[in-house]
Order: sequence, then structure tokens, then C-alpha cells
Amino acid sequence: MSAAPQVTLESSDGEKFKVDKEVAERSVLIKNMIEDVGESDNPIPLPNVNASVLKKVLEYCEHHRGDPLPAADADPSNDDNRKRATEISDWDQKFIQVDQEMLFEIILAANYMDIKPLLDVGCKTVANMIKGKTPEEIRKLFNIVNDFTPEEEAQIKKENEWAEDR
Amino acid sequence: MDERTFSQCDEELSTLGTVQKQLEQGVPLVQKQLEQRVALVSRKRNTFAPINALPPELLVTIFKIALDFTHRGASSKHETLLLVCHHWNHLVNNTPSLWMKIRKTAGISNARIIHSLKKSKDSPLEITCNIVSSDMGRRTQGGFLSAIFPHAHRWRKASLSLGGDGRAFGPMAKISTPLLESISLSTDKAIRWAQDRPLNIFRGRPPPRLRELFLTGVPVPWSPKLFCNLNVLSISQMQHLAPSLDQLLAVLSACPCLESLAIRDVTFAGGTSAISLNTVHMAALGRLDLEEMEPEITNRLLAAIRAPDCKFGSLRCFLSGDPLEILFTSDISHFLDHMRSGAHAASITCGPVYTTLLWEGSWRIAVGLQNIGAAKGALNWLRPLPERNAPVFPLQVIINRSDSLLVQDILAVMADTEGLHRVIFGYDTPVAGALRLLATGSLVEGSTGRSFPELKEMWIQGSINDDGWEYLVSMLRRRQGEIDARDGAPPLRKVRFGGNGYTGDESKEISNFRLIHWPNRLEKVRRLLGPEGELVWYGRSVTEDGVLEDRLTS
Repeated sequence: MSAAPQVTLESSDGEKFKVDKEVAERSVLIKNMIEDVGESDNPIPLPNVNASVLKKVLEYCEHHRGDPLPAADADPSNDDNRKRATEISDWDQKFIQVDQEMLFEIILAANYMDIKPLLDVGCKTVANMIKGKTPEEIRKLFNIVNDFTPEEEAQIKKENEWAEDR
Repeated sequence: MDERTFSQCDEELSTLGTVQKQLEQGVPLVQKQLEQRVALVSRKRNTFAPINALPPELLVTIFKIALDFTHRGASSKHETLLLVCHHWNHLVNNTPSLWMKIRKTAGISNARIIHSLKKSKDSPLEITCNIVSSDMGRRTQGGFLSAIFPHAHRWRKASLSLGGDGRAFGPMAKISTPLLESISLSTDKAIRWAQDRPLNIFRGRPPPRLRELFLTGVPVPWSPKLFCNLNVLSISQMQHLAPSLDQLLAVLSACPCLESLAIRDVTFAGGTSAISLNTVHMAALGRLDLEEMEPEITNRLLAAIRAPDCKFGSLRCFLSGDPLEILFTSDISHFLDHMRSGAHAASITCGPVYTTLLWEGSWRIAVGLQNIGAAKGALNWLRPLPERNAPVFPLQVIINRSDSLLVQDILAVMADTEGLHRVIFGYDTPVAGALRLLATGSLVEGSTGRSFPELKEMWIQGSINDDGWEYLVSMLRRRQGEIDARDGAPPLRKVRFGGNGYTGDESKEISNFRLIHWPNRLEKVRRLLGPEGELVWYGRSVTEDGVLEDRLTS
């Protein structure tokens, strides 16, 4: 039995990762690069992803190697696609339990490497962190400070103050 | 000594007063400048916050998920995101797609709706309105409809549950909805449709993109051309101005792409007599739900619809006689393979009024029946034929009857049923007599077969008296082979006391375990269940050593 074809990826800090082509091709960016360039022993450079993040991304790709790939033209407003974007499996939840810095780096890497399911998991995780919180709690969570003048803040509150039917 | 005169002092004081006034007047300005400076520096600082390093389109994606109210759990409100920081405020305010989902309930003012409509600019709209059951909502219904109907050209999805007798839907006859893909119209179930004619929608012509139509209590002209492009059609709670069976089948014939069809609680005009078409071929249909209708109607529809790929569906109805004669009068064998395949569990609930058979698989079938005998008959009919060597999937019987003899009758009927792995005695169900029968093995008079050949679990949700304890222990000893077992029944593996939805005082039951039952009865039961067995006492496992665990078991 012949071994699965492999490709080498090179992170921004020069570390090389040899992975199965099937795993690497979870990334649409890499898949397109392989298709454009053809089979080659040269490492595929990923100048926007450092080694620690790439290692994490590849862990995700390895776990999901057999999953069906999302349609390239998937309409994000479609119910099924939205469902895909709002439900996180147990494994994915554990996978994404990382510090904030790594979480945002994974999201950026998934966006750059065009790995839609991973991007969805990341965005959903951040959205869940936001849900149900006050502006002050959100600021504290994401290390943001209040950058409105008191006048601006009052104006925003006034514009969005609804006399609800009670 | 100071040589200033009285008047010179006054003059100087006056000058100082002016200076003070000038300073005081300048303080707000300085303060404002300071605030602006602080805000500017803060804004600069916020650009270094890791979350703000995400490109705007990703932040917008995150906001969309956070704002989405159609999922479980709390969603965020626009005003929350607007107040976090300047960058978020700018993004939320200037992204129309973040305002495209409009939700109206009794607690949401029309002013907010109008604001969202304005902010959404030209984006397609997804509108959800549910004010049927609220007086408060009904009072503002007119204002809401006045706000959204002028934007009908932007509707992509609309779900309108409106109060009243149906008049509020009137403008639907005149609007143009070129972007509409899905629409759900629902009226007040208590008032129902009180108009003398059906609702004219879309000027008699379906919107070009419309693929999903859900009608709940809202009749429309049953003209095939109105439905021709649909993928999903649902008709529910239709008693007045409902279609005849012939009209419905003509509609279905005109829907070659229909993938999902649901008909619930519909009183067809003319009943079963109004059917002349033999069959309708629906090649794309993958799901069929027929619920809460006369069994004869359900039968006629199943007989008429030919859908070779309909692997999913549901049936729900009540059968007052023999299920095999009523539900299956006409030939529906073309659905049987799909109904039978993929089943993974079944459940029979013997309630105080009637018995329910629930068949769970890719088809979910719930039938109300007169008695346990009819339920068993229907179960046997649905089960794959033995020659197919299909595995028998787990069956549970739930007994919620307060009459001890009836409980014993139910057990007698089910005693030889294959696959019956769990019996649950409800809260008010007397168990002593049933356990006595199980203990003695004399369930079926004259029967030489084994009683409950696959029974593995027993749940006792209510109380159990002294006799019940004795019979339980005897039954376990018999099944576990400690005493001569005439029927050779396999051992029980799980006994559970209490259960989900227990309404009593669980802490008292826990105390009972320690003070009363311990160590005699429960210890004995646990020992009889063997090393692989499981004993649960009001949500907590009892270990092999007879210790009640602190944590709740699932």
C-alpha cells in the first residue's frame, strides 16, 4: 500500500510541517496553491501564520480530515450554513479553549488560509463570549476602554432608548 | 503696611472676580478638550486590543452571530454593541446587514422596528413577528404592519403570526415581493380565520424566488400555479376554506420540486369523498409529515402520494379501532420500507386515557390507540419482518395507570414482546402487584415462553410499599438465577427509583436511603444486580459497596 501523499508547509517563523496532502487541503488557499503550482517538494510558505498557530490549525484539519467540504458558493444567510456557523461540536469546543490572543490568531489564520469551518468555530466562540454581557463587561473581557466622551455616550444612549410596549 | 485705599481694594476685587469668572467659563471648555483628548488616546489604545485586530468583515460576522435572536440563549442587542467602543459603534451603525433581521414581539416597540428598517437601508429583510397571543402586541400590530409593508420589496424571509380574525393580512394581496424566498403566515388559533374568502396573496402569482410556504390557519386560493416553484409546503390548523383532497393533490402535482410536505390538523373540504386522482408522483419529496387528522384522510394521502425517496417523515393520529384496518385501509406499502428502516427505538405509553405508540427512526410515528393490545398490534406491523434478520431495537413501556389489575394486564400482554428492554412504572402506578407477577413468572397463563426475555431495566418513579420490596427482591433473585427460574429470564441490569421530573422532596428521599432503607433493602437490590449492574436512587448511583454517591447520575 502506498503512503498518502504529503506536502510541507512553512510558517512565518521558518518552521516546517510535513502533513498529508488531504489534511493540508482543508485549507482552500493551500488547495488552490497546489493546483496552481502542481506537485512539488518545495515547502508552501505561509507568511501570515506563525508556527504555534499553524500547529493548532493543523490539529484542527487533522481531526476534520474526512469531513465534507463546505460549498465554495455557500450563502451565509442560508439556514444550514447558519446552523453550521452556530453549533460547535464537543471536540471543537475543547479545541478552541485557548487564550484570547491564540483565539484571534486562529481566526485570522483560518480567514487567511480559507478554512471556513474553523473560521465559523472561532467567530461563534467570540460571539458567545459577547452574548448576554453589558458594554462594560464586554470592554473588560476584551481589554477595551471606554473611548466615548460623556457627551457621545449620552447621545448614543438617547438615540437607542426605546419606549418598549409594556 | 498696605497703602491701598478702600476703593482700590474694591477695584482689585472686581478685577479678580472677572478673572475668576473667565476661568470658570473656561473650565467646561478645558474639560471638554480634556475629555476629547482622553477619548482620542483611548481610541488609539483600543486599536491595540487583540479583538480589534480582526478585520472589520470578521467583526461584523461575529456581531451577526451575537445579534441573531433565532438561536437558543440570549442574544445581544444593537445598543450594547454600539456602546462598547467607537470602532464597534462605527461598524454597527454603518453595516446595514446587521439590521436586516427585524423581530416584533409584544415587548418590542414599533419605534425600534422603524429605526432598524432605516438602518438596514437597502438590505434584504428577514422579518419575524409573533404577537398572536398578546393583547399588548395586538394593539401595536397595525403600526408594525404599516411600517413593514412599504418595505415588502425587500422581504427575503417573513414569518407573520398575527392576532385577530385574519383581516390584518389584507395588504398581502397588493404587495410585490421580488426577493421573497420563504414566508410563514399564521393566525390566531383561538379566533381562527373569520373571513368569508381565502387570502389573496402575491396578486395571484408566486414571487419568482419563493421556495418555502407555511400556512397556519390562513387559507389561500388552492390554485396550482401559486405553489408551482415550492420546495417546502406546510398547511396547518385549517378548518375553514381548507382545500379538498383533490385540490391538494392537484397542487402537489404542480410542485415537481417539492422536497418537504407537512399537513397538520386540516379538515379537508368534502372529506375522503372528494378524491378522484389516483396517485401523485413526487420524485423530489424527502420528508412527509401528516399529523392530527382523521386516520382515513392520512391513509388516503399516503395511498395517493408516490415518493420513492421519502426517507423521513412523521405520522401522528388517533385510531379508535383496529389500527391495521383504519390507518392502512388503502395500500400504502410503497411507504413501508422507509417507515420501517432506520428505526432505532420504540416506546409504548399506557396513559390514563389512551395508549400511545411512538416509533422513532427516520420516520417518527405517534399513534394514539385504545389499548395495549392495539399498540402491540401496530408495533408488530411496523417492525421489520423477521426473515430480514433485522436487529430488534430497544422498546420501552411506560405505565401510568392507577388501577393495579390494569397494570398487570398490560404486563401480561407485553410479556413475550421481543426487544422490550425497559419498563417504567409512573408516579401513581401501583407496583406491588406487577412485581409479584414478575417475581412468580406467572404472567401469561398457560404460556411456555419466557416472560420479558430481554428486560434489562426497571424504573419505579413512585413509592413502593413493603410488599413491593419483597416482590422486587424475589423477582431479582429469580432473574439473576438465585432461585429456580421456570422461564429462564436473563438478569436485570438496572433498577432506578425516582426519575426525571420527580416532584417530591429529593433530599427527603436521600435521607430515607440513609435512615430507613439502608442497609437492608437497597443493599440487597444492589447486590442482586451484580457487578455490572446499576442502582439509581433519586438521581444518585449506589455503588457496589452500597454507598450513595454524591454526584447526580445522568
